[in-house]
Amino acid sequence: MIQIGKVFVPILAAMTVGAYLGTEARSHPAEDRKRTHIAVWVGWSGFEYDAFQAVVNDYNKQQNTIFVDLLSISGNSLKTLISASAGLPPEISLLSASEIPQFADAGAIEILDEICKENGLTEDKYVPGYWDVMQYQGHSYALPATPATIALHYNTDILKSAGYTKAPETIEEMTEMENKITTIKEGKMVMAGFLPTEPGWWTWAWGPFFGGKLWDGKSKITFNDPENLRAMEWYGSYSKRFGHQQLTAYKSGFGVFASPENGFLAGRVAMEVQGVWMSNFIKTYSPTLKWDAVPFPYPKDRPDLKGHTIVDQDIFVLLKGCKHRSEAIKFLAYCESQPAMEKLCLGQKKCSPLRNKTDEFWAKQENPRIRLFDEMAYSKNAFANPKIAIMPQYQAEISNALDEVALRTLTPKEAVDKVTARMQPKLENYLRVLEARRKAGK
Amino acid sequence: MKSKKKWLTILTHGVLISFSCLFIFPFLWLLDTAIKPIGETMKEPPVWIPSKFEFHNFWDAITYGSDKVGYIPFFVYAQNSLMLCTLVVVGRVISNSVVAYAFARLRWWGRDFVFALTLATMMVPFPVLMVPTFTIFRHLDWIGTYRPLWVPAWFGSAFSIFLLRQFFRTIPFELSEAARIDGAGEWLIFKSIILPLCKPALSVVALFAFMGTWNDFLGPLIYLLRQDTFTLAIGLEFYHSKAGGTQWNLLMAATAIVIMPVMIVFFFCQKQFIKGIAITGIK
Repeated sequence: MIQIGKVFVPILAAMTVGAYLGTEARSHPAEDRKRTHIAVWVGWSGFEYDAFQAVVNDYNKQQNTIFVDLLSISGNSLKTLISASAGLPPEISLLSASEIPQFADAGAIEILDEICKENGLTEDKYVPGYWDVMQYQGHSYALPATPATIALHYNTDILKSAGYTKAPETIEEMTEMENKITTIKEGKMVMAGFLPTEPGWWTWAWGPFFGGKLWDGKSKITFNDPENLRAMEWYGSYSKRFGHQQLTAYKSGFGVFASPENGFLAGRVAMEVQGVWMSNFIKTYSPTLKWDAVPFPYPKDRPDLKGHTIVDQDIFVLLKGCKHRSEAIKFLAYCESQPAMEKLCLGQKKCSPLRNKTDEFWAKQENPRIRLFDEMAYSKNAFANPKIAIMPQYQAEISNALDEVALRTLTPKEAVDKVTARMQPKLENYLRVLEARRKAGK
Repeated sequence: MKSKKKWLTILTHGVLISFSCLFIFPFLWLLDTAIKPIGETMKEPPVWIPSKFEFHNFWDAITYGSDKVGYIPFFVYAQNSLMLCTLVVVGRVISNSVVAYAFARLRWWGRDFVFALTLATMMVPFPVLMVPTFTIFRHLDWIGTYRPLWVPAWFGSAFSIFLLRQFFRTIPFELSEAARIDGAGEWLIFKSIILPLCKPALSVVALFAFMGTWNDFLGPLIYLLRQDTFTLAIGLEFYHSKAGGTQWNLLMAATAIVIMPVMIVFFFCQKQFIKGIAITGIK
């Protein structure tokens, strides 16, 4: 009888050796040693990645001294942060603009003021809204990749059937429309005019849409200012008007965002706040839907807020302590050139952050409202995620407060006071840590 | 009396079957979604029986995007995952059984203290260790290779050591004594007497190691630097893009293929596995 051990052990040993040799061979491929390799990490995948890979391929072809090794990986921010902390960062990483404070405060990314000046990447070259989001504590910390603005998307058929020929301009008009469009049959909601919880991604922005500020830019949390309180009251009015359970039950019937059952795409919500990317989803999941977009409404007594929008963008950062800094700068400058930027933005179906755009760029855009999204980034009322590293905690506090107001366990006044009281010590602590770091020269 | 027993059996089986249905439901949902057209994947109310059975989703999933630049090399990732699993499973079984033997069967000064210290390492969460271990591997020049992912497996893991130690302690000490009287050394006792009796526990350790490595996302995410070195767990992420939506049917088809090896391993080892779990008291 064959002893199992006598057969099994050599096979296992052979497999182990094979696996070892295989992993070693794959880890150390033959590399093109003639060129300097720079690592660029991005979180894009699918068609977004394809668009950037095409730009990278062009760059790798057009010169023979630098080779860009592009890595697409979800969780790129975490990977970048760990690698930077351990002193082995990539040359360039793609982050979201809202992450600048965390990375800048941690001393992980370079200030680009000089680099921008030397390469002609100055303020006048970029759309103001997109330039502003890259500034932090008086310095440029990033360069734009692909930008986005937010607008109120509306279903023209639903508005028309309710007797409206144009979108609301003020919050009061929107409320009136919602009341008319929202339909409850046999005790169940069957149509919603607008739901502040759909998609519910920018909960921090309701206050700024009413003219509120989340902090004074120095040392004070201002969430309990009258404008933020007004936004909270407006948010709470949905539960009052339609009932929290009714709203929750209705929303629970929607599918995930990227699906034909998305509330807006399925024609079950007439108006929704969404970004420049929404037209892609409409085209994919609800191609017959008739829609348009306008800037989000402003309070009737605050016409000065007209044309407001949230500005956000994916950004390129240069990591401190990277191996090939000057080569990375050359590649960044290439990405910011008009042909490369337009190729990237067209591929990703977004606006370009550059002021100058070619006719070809506009002609090839698939989003019929692309110019609106571009114009909004010029608005003096465009605003971005507040530039403080404790924003994730602040955002969580705001979301909790909104839930409590919706559930009516807190009044709007109590909610804004609670958030302010909870965030103020966190802000003070954060500023203390920053100060200590500054003194220590980090 | 007989009929009472019969009813009790039916009741027990009924309860067990109901619970197994509850557990198998997500898996069936995954398979169901894998063969649906994309438009029916997230419908409300859910579509249970697809209007069209799209079995080609499985093939599409593993060749996803092969006409584009952002192609997912499914078989390369599968190969990487398998190589890594082999190294980790073998390392984990060998190193942990040796260490556990020392803790369970040998008497030495400070043994219980060292064992407690070993167990204490389980209390330290991985995120706390991420940067320090990354720094160590960076100094060893191992970043971008698979070594940070498998070499630690050859130096023991607290959970597996604990599991094996518990099992080793259930084997009568008289067996070792008898072997010693016959002149056997510790290595021979370990290799020829203890290990052959521990197949169930070794299977559990091997299976846990395999599952942990096959499904590990964070480790490869942190340590690997090139696309062609990625594992399947990371590869699955490529089925959705930041603003382009998720190909749910393809993602589920790919996931079904990815979890298949784990299921096959479990299928063949389940007898040993359950025995191991039952004897060591790990539930």
